[in-house]
Amino acid sequence: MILFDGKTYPSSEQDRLIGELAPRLTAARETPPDPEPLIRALDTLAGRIAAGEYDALIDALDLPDRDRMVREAVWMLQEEQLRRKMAVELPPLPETPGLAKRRLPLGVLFHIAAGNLDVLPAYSVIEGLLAGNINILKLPGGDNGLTVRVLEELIALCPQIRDYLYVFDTSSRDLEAMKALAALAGGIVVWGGEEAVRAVRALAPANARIIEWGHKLSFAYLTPSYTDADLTALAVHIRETRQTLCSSAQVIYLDTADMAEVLRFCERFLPVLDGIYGENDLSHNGKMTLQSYTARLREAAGQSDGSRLFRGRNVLLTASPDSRLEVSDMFGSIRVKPLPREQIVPVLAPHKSRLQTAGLAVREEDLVRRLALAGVTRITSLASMSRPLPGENHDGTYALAAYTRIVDVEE
Amino acid sequence: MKYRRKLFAAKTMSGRDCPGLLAAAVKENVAYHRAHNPAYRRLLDGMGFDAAHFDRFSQLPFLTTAFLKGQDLNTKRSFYMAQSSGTSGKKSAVSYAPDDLPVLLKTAVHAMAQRGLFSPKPVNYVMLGYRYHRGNQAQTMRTAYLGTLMAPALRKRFALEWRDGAYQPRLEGLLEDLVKFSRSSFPCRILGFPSYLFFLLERMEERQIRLTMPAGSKILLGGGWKQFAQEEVEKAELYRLARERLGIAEEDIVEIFAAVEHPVIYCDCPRHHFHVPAYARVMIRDVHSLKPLPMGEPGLIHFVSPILKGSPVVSIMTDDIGVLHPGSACGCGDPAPFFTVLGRAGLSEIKTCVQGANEYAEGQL
Repeated sequence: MILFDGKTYPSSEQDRLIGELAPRLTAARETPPDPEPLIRALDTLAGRIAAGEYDALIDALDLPDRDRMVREAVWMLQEEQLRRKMAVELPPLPETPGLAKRRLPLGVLFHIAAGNLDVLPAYSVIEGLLAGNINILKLPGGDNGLTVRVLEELIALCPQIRDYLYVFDTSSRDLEAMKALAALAGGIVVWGGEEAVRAVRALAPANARIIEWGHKLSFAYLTPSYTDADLTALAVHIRETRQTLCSSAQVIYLDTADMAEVLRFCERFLPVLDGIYGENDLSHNGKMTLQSYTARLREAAGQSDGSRLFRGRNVLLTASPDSRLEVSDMFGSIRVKPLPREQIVPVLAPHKSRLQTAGLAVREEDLVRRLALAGVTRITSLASMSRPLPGENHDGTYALAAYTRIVDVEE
Repeated sequence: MKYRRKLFAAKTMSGRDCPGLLAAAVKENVAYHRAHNPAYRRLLDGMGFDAAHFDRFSQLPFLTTAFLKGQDLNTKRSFYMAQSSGTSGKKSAVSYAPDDLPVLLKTAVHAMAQRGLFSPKPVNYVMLGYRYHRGNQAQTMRTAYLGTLMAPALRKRFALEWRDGAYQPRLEGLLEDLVKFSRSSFPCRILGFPSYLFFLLERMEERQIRLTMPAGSKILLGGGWKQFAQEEVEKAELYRLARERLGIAEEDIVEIFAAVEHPVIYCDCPRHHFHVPAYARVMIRDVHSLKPLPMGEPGLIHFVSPILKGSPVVSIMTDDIGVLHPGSACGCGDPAPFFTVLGRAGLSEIKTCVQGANEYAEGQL
């Protein structure tokens, strides 16, 4: 489905509508959208979501942790949070004698959204609007219709954004259409892995700014003084996110070089995680059971790599002697590894561009310094690893700032 | 291997009147590999297998596909190595001994003849997969090639062609081929992954292309379906699309199940069920305890068959989740139990050839 000029059209109208886009954008560019009515409309939307007006729509999404996600969405769309976001991400420019500084939107943003989070495409567009841009959105393959519904609601609440909002369900294989849309944009916002970014670079015009929100890896870091409360917080985090977010823990690192310490941790953490995780599905239980059986086969064949597997009823901990940062199998399966603090920078710095959140049990300045040096961009408590924090950065920068540019005028 | 010879003799292959024969052939096969393959023997010993008191299939330790990846546990070197298509990046190689080949061929013919797949009449082939080339030895391609030997080929067209050092999809060309083949006086056979066929049929529906393929045309499907536990829904939708867009009826759609590590070929019955032949046994095991489950309960699919001498794959646990049903629940007349594949264990993580195909079909963004 296509959303154009506040109305929906079938996909078959795509080429005609793309043809009509250029003159409209020229007109809209003259007067960037005003964030004020948009902020009020988003606040109203947040109120309605909280009041349960969209419950049927949200229930249909079958979210793994529905209530928490709804709570977070409401919080993020409230006027107070939006104003804080604007203040942090677009602060007044510093006074510079002889120069009058102005901040302008990039103009037209082309968002290429990923499908791993339902609300993400709509949120990307909202950020673009707050920064004063016209937004063209390419929906991810397999989109469930939520994005267009949300944006339609928003247009109903704030009709003036109609001219700054265009949604297409173009297939990424339709290179001609993708190139035509990219050619209209001053900035291309791409969500996704390296494959996606590479593909976008190939079709982007040379002068477009490419803003990448790539796949990131996060981990928990514990010193041997961890408490039962820390283990519970970590287990709740694993359960809430199923480890599928950029900010979800993929590895649990322990500040030790001693494998015996790692094994002791697994023995203590296994019942905690199993208790909190609850029922897992056939598919993931089947896989975890196969993995632990295969480890037995390897041991019987004398091929063990030094890993030890701890299978709970619904979860799996893999204690590995190496310190490599890697994606876990997710859905209740996580690796536990030794990483003495002296090794944090040498081991993790090579992954700098892929690091995001480190969850700590105790905020200790020495650890914070080492993690930041290694390239981590968010350091949080274990419980907050995947919770939105007021005024936080996005992968080391601010989205709104990235969607604007600065113009200097000599006085 | 006298019991194996008896088990795969033409008259016993489809019958179930030799109750002890499969058990005897399995014992014989295990004894053979234990005697000739020290690594396999060590493995069985390490898993606590007691050869002297082996009287139930469930006592025999099974190998997993993950264990076989990246290692050579073959009993015999051979001129023919079957390779899986590299699930999670690693490949497993299963070796066939020279006298395994006639057995494999017999079982394949046995399975496919039941659905009338052998025909002297030439056909036009549409291959919804890669054109085979020297650099790619994945078994899926060899299987696809074997699929073209059941009826003589007039022409073969491929969905993915090797160009400029990479496989390139050719949807437009394929649609033109189908139009051409629909006007031919010879039947057409479409071979490939269900996900590819879905993609093709959905594009045809979007563009409102409706063809009637010549009488005797068939669709042969192999490989997994798109989504866990969605198989039944998807199948019904696929049959509807095939009838509507290609004029091919449900009974002319044949699905094949095969795995490199368990080279028994299963061909579905007219009601689209995989019945277990007399030369294999299927057990469903609990996803927690790995204990065998009663019929009707879903779990991991475990195959037993004494089919190979080249490799000790007599007892194999796949990554597939499935259910076993009594033959009477099918209604096609075959009394043998049948299994249904529900999906792959940990599907969200394992990158299989099928998922790779999906990514190709749906674009890479």
